[in-house]
Amino acid sequence: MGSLATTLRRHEADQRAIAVASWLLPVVLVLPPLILGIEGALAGYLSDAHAQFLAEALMIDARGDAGLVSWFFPPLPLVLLTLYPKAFMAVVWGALALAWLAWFLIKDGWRHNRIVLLAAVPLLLFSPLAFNLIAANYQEAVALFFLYLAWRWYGQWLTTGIIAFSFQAGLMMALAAFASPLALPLALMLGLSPSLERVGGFGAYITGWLILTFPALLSIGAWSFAAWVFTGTFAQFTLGITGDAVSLLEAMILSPIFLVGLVVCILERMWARVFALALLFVFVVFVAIAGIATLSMTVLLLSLLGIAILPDELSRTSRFILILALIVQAALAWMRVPIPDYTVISDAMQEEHEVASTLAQLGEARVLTDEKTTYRIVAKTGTAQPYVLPTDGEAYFEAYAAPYASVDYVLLHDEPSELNDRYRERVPVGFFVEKRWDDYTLYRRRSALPLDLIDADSVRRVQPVYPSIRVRPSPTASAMPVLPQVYQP
Amino acid sequence: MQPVASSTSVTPAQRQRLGEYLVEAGMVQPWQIQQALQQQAVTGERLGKILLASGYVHRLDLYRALSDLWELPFVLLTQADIDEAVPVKIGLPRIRRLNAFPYQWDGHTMRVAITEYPSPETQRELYELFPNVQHFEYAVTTEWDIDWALREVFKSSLIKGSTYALFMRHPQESAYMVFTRGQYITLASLVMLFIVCLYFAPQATFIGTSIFINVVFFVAVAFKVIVSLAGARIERVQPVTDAEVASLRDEDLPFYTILLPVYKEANIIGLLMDNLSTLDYPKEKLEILVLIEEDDPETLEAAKAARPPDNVQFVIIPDSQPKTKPKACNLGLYFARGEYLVIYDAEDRPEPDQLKKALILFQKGDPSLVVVQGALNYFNSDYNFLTRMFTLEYSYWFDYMLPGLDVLNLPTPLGGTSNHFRTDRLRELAGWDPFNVTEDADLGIRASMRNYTVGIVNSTTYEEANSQVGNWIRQRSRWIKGYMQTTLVHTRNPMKLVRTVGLKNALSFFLLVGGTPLTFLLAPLLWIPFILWIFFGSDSTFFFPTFAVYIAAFNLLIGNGLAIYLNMLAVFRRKLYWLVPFALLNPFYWFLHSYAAYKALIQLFTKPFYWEKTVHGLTGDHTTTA
Repeated sequence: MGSLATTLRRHEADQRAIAVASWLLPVVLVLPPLILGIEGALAGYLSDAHAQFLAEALMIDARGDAGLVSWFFPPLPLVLLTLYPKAFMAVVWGALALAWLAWFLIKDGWRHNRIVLLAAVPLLLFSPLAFNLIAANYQEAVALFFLYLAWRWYGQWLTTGIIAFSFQAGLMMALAAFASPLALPLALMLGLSPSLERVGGFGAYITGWLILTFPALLSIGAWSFAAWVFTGTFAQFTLGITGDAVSLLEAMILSPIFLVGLVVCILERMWARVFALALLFVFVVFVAIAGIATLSMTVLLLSLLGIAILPDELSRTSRFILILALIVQAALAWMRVPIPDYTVISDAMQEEHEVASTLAQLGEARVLTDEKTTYRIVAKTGTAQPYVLPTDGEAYFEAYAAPYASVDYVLLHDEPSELNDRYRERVPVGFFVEKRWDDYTLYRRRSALPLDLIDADSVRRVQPVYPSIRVRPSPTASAMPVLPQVYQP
Repeated sequence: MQPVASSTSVTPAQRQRLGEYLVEAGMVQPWQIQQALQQQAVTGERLGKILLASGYVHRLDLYRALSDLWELPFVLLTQADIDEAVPVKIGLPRIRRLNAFPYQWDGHTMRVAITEYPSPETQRELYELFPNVQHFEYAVTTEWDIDWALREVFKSSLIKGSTYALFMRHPQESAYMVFTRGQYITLASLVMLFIVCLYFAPQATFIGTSIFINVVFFVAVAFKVIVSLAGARIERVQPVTDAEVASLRDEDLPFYTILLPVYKEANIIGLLMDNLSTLDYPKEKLEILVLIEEDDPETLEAAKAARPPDNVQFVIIPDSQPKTKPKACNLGLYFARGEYLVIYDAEDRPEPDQLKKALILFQKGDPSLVVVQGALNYFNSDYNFLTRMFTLEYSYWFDYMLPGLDVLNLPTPLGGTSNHFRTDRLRELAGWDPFNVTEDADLGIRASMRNYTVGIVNSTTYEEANSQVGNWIRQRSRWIKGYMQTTLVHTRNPMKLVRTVGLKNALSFFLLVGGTPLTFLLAPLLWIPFILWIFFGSDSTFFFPTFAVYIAAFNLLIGNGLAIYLNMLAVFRRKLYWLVPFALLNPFYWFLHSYAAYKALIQLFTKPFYWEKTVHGLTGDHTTTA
């Protein structure tokens, strides 16, 4: 009896240790990139992706209306950032997503005695790839988290045949679709493979495919429909974050664990898993070519999903080889993928920072700009109050038609857009060039304060007086006509 | 309540004699006695009962044989002159307990009809009850005779009891009163308030209404998803395994009663007998009470023509109002001898292991577990569009929703059939409410209010899905009206409800029982502006401010999508793969629900207790083979 009690106590102590470790290890792992990222964000570093989301979140925050989103971005990361729209919060969300992912990996590894999964936690998630996701692409970290969970439950469905797991996989895929459009092709591909392991006839195959795909389709459909309701056009939220095509070769070089896992499955004749991994590979080829994910995301997706699909029972040799592959992968990542020094701010960033800080002191709706191209400045301003946004609003339309009658400044970027194209070559009437740097141009109204004189006091003292004019209203920005300038100074 | 002792109580010495007597009289064959004795060794049940249940001997022959063996006269109460004052003096419950029916008193001798040899305790109790009686004369009769005599003698009190028992014991829990004064005042005040607001601030009123409707939908959808996620767990943990069923020994099985309320079901009663014969339960421990309304002789004739085994008894329900299934069941409850009791409908095809699985769940469960619900599904799902949609709906409800409520320990509205009860607890709850047209749902809630729990067993009863729109509307409007009644009954004092069952359970009740009719009623108010907007591009901002549009869009897209997805999963789990795409057509099916809901609302005011009869047997013996 006494020995039983001792054994039980020891068992409970082990369980507690496991619980503590599963919480502690993820925290320890994400702490360095989190600190680095926050330090960089506070110093002025802002990745392009974070800037785009932040600009959008600031606009929603300033107007208090979520209906003003441009519908170009995956909504879930955007909603998260809107809760507290600060540059460092993007880093925090990224860190949280990867920490939670690590927690699941540890939990699964311990529960099923999967040493490879446990080894993957430090070797994959403590790497420059994860650093980059946290510090520069939090939306991908969030998407990776949901895609992994969907894949995890998909794997459990494949193994056990329990429909509840497909339910959970489907729901996660739906959330993943709100975090990244990658979820839809992944769901479509996942649906293709279950029949190999559990042949239940053609009906089972097709409907199983529908069960996995429907939630992701629903998410994408819902978002598209909502975009159509609010803007008249269907969502194009893959366009929001366009990246360069990822080199497939580079991604494969950085993912030896995937290739080794595939070989192990072939050697152990686990054909359903081989098929699933092959589908995953096709998926990654699509991702790489389409350029809708960064290299870090592509490699981590390939590696994590590749490991997760491996069976619980593996021979000792296979486990050894897989862990070796993980070590090689970690070494390759550290050698080939540099961690940018997020605390070193370039001159361009410094310039952006200064202009944005100055504009931040202006009153409401003093600057006309298209935030789809000048999102970095808007994000760095820390508030969307000084800008006339959104671009499909009535106020924007009026300011666009006659800036002199509405705003003090016009901020342009070299990228094409209706506003940029209209005023790039032709200075708005009553304005002159205040500043040009990099790809930006800032026009100032003649009577407005120069940038170097702007401070809180002067803004308070000098209230703008705009002439009253009438502008024909237009329903949407997409239908915005190029109007003659009705005001002559 | 313990199972009432058998009518064939004999001593070990007499047992052999009973067998010998029956063989010598040519009533049974020696091999039949041999087989019955073997069965007796397994189940421990009495020989006479086994012979009866096996159909080897007629009831009348058996009791005549017993009267010879006991050297007592035999009497048929149906042909005897009954002095009603005598049985009335000792009352129905005591007669049921003693299995002794005093039927004549001539000032000197009291004649008592018995089905068991009177024990000294029985005799002593009778002497105590009738101290002036000098002599008791016992006569053997059949237990059916006693039941018949009880129904005749106690007819008015049985009608009264089966109709008003709940109202008399717990008037606040009875739907006899549809609206309380407070509810009338509240309802009238709300209507007046709405009209006044509409007059003075029409836009604000519309906006407020649209927000209210959308919030109701949002919360209802969220609730259903959460419960369904919890319900999905049942797939991983089978409440009762096949191994547990196999380990049951027949001699340990208790007496089980099946209540079969039927009305105008002459076309399918024969089929019902066949379906019940497949149940895996010793027949001698199974009592089937077929509850037939007095004004339905066709069904009675059809039932007799089906030549049911001897454990089937017909209970004629006296013609009185309200003529509802719960009233018939309450009357049946008076005569139920089983320790456990289950209700089936006329067209039901329960899986053979259902009684045993329910029993195991009772044994494994907490003492607070008083009712076990079997899953319901349809055997004619591929008959037409309506039966397909009905199957989708039922699969979701019984495979996800109810198990989810069970897992989360929330009040569970019972389905109309395959409810297994502990009989004593059911009597304690005063049976069903005859004035509530979804008495089953109401009973589940009343059980929860007394801290009793409802379990869900993994065994299915296959029913006939409604295949005709009119018939479907009748059935559905009754269900929805019943949910409205149940909501009204249990919200007479909302604070008391919260205090009794807790906030979580009260909210769950509001969302499930109150929310179901409410969402059906409110849905058209969302659909109409949406359709107008789609086709005519009407300006919706009059009704919907931007933030209400978000919730409305969520409900429209995600809420409906999730509801469709849950339906898909449910039929996928049941391997009804070909039904999965039909889940996409659910919005059309929901229109029918709304129509039925408005019909129910009108009936709530005009004919609250009217039982819309569902016609069964419309699809013949059509059975899905896919």
